[in-house]
Amino acid sequence: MKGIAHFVSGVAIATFFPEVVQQAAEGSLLPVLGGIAGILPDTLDFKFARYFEVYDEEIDPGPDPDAREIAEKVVGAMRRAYETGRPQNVVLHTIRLGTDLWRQYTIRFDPARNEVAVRIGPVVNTGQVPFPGSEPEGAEEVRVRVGVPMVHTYDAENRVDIFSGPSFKFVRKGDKLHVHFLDWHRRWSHSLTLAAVLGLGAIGIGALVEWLARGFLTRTPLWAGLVVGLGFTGHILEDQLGFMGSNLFYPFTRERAIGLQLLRSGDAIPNFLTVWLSVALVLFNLDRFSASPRLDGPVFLLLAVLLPLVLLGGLYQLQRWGKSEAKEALQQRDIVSETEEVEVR
Amino acid sequence: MSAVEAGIGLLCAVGGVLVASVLSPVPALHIYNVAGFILLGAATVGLPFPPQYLAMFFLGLVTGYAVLNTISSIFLSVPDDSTVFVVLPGQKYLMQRRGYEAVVLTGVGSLGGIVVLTLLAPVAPRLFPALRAILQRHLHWILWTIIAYMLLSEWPKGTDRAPAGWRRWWDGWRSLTAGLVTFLLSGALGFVLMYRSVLPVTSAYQNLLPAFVGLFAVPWVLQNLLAQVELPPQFIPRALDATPGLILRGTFAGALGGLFAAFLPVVTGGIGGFIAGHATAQRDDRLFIVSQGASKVVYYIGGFLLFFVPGLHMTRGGMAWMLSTLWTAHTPQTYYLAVAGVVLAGVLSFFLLLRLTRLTVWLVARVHYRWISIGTLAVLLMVVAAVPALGEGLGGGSVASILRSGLEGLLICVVATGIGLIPVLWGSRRMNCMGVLLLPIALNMVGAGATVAGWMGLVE
Repeated sequence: MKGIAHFVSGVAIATFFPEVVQQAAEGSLLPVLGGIAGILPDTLDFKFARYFEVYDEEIDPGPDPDAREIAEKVVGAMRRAYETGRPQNVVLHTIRLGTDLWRQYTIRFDPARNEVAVRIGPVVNTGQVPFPGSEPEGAEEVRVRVGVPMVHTYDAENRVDIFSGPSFKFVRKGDKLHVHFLDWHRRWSHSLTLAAVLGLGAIGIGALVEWLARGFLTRTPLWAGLVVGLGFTGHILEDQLGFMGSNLFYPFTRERAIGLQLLRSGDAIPNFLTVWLSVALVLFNLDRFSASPRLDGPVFLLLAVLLPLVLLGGLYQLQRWGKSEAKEALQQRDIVSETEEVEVR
Repeated sequence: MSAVEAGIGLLCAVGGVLVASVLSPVPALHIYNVAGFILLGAATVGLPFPPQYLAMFFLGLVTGYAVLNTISSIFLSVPDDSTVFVVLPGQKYLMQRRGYEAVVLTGVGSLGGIVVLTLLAPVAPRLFPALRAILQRHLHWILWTIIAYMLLSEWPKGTDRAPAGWRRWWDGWRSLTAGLVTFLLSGALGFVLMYRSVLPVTSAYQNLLPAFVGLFAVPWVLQNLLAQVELPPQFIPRALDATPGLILRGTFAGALGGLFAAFLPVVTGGIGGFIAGHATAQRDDRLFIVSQGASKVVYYIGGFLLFFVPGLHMTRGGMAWMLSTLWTAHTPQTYYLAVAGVVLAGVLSFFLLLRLTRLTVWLVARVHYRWISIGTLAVLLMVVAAVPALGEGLGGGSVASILRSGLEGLLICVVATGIGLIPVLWGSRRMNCMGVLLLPIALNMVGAGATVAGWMGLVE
C-alpha cells in the first residue's frame, strides 16, 4: 500500500487506546508515534536497505545509449542466472546529461515472447518533462530473445529517467527463471519479529528518557511501545492483504509468506478506502474517549465506516471481476507499484 | 434581510470577482494583502456602506482569486503556498503545448470544489461544530502528524552510482538532508517573522508576503531564467482530455484535502493539495491537476465560508481574521446568501478564467518567455517592496520609514529566496518551505515556541 495509507492506519491504531487519546488531549504526541511506526517498514527499505544491496552487474548506458547493448546485458545476466543456478542481481543506471537533463529509456520483460525490450526515449528535465523532438533519430524498440524459460512476470514498461534506475534479481527455481523486481524490498524490514523488537525498544528508550528527565516512571513508555509495535505490525498486515506478502518472522523465516491476494497494493480504491476508514476511526475514537461524546456511535460506524467499506469494497471487487493475470506478475506488480509513490514536489 | 439587500450583496460578490480578475494575474500579489489595505483604509476613513456588503465583496474577491491565480502559477511559474504543486505538472503541460488545457483542468476542479461546498452547505451547521468539539483538544498532535508525514514521505534522490554502503546511502540522503535543512531554516525564518519581524509594527502584518514570494515564487522564476526555458506555441483544444470519472475522483480527493486545510489552523492550501495528491495515489497528471484546483478553492473559499456558518463563527484564513475585526455573521440567511454568492462568483470566475487564459496564451506567443520571466521577476520584487511600504504609508509612517519598510520587505524576500533555492539545487521538495508557518506554530501549540524563540535570542 501507499505511504499515506500505512501512516494514517498507524495513527488510527494508536487512538484505540483510551489512555493514549486522553494523554494526547493533554498535550502528548503519542498518536504521531503510531503514524511514524506505520510508515517505518518502507522507510527502512527505501531509505536504508536499498543502499546496502550489492549488485552482480551495474548497467550504465552512458551518454550515447545503445538499446541493443542494454538489452543484451540484461539477457546475459538472465542466462547466467539460469545456466549457473546462481542468482544475478542487476541494476540499470540512469543517464544524466546535465544538471537538469536526463535521457529517458524504457525496459520491459515480455514473457509471452520470451524477450527483453529496450527503447531509448526523449531528453527530460528533472520534472520528467520531455523536450519535444529530443528522441534519437530512428529510435525503435529493440528486442533480444532471452533463450531460457521464464515465468510469466510483470510485463509493463519500466521507465528509467531521473535519479536512480530499477533493479532486478534473476533467480532460477526449478526449470524456470524468475524476475524479482526490487528484491531488497519487504525482506527483514517487514517482519513481525522486528515489530516486537521495536516496540520493546520504544518502551526501553521511553523509560530511560522519562527516568532521566523526571526521576520516576509512569505507564507512558508502555503506551509508546504498544503504539510503535502495533503501528509497525499494522503496516505488515496491510501489505499481507496483497499478492507479494512479506518475510513475516525474519530471521526465523527466509522466504516471503505469500499474501492473501485480496487487493493490489497500488490500486486507488483500497488505498483511498484505508485512508478514509482510518480517519473515520480516529474521529470515532477521539469522540468516544472524550469527556462528553457527541457522536451516535452505531450510526457513525454505519455511515462512515460500514457503508463506504461495502460500497467501495464492492466496487473494487466488481472492477477486478474477470480480470486475470499470472500470479507471479501480480506479485511483482505489488512491489513496483509501491515505488510509484506520488512525488508531490 | 430583504430581497434588495440580498441582491446588493450578490452584486458586491460579482464586484469582488471583477476586481480579483484584474489583481489575480499580477504575480505575487495575494488577495489577502489587498483586503488588508481595504480594511486599513476602512478603519482610517470609515465605511460608506454596511459591513455585510464588504463581507460579500471579500467573498467575491477570494472566490475570484482562488480560481484565477492558476494562470500566473502555470504560465508564469509564480505560485503562492496553495498553488505550489500545480507548477510542475503545469510546466509539463506547457512544454507539450497544453498550458491552456492545464488551466482548464484546474478550473474544472475549482468548479467541482464549489459544487462540493454547495452540497455541504445544509449539513455544515451541524457537521463542523461537532467536528470542532471533537478535534479542539487534539489539534497540536494532528499538526505534528502532518509535519511527520511531510518529512517522512519524501523519497531520496540519489543516482545509486556510488559503491554499495554508506557512500551510496549518503548520495541518496543528500536530498533528504537538504529537505530537512529547508524545513528547519524556513521554520527559523518563521520564528524571526513572528517574534521579531524586521518590518515596523505598522506594516508587520504584511511580513508573510515577502517570505512566501521568496520561498515559492522567486526560485521558480530564477530556475526558468537559468534553464533558458522556451515555450512552444500553445494549443487551444475544443474538448478536454478528461473523463467524468476522472474529474469526480480528482474533485473528491481535492475537496477532502482542501476541507482538511480549511478546517485546521495553520494548515494551508498547499498542504491540503499535498494530502490530496497522496490520497489520490495515482500517477495521472490530469487527475492530480483537477485535485489541486478543487483543493485550493475549497481551502480558500471553504475556510472563509466557515466564518458565515451559524453557530460556528470560526475564523480560518487571513480573510476571516481580518473581517472579524469589523463584522460577524449571525443568521442562516447571511450564510445561505454567502453560499449563493460563492456559486455565482465561482461560475463567473470560471468563465473569466477561460478568457484570461486565452489572453495569456496570446501574450506568450508574442513575447519571448525569457522576457516574460524577467518582467515577472521585476513585478515580484516591486510587489515585495511596495506592499510593506504601502502598509507603512497607510499606518502613518514617515517617508524614511516607508522607504525602509520597502527595503526590509526585499531583505525578507532575499533571505527567503536563499532558503527556497535549496530544494531547487538539491532536488528536494519545495513543500518543506512550509516550515515557515508549520514549525513555529506547531511548537507554540505544544508550549515550546517561546523556549525555542529564547534559544534564538528573539525573546528575553
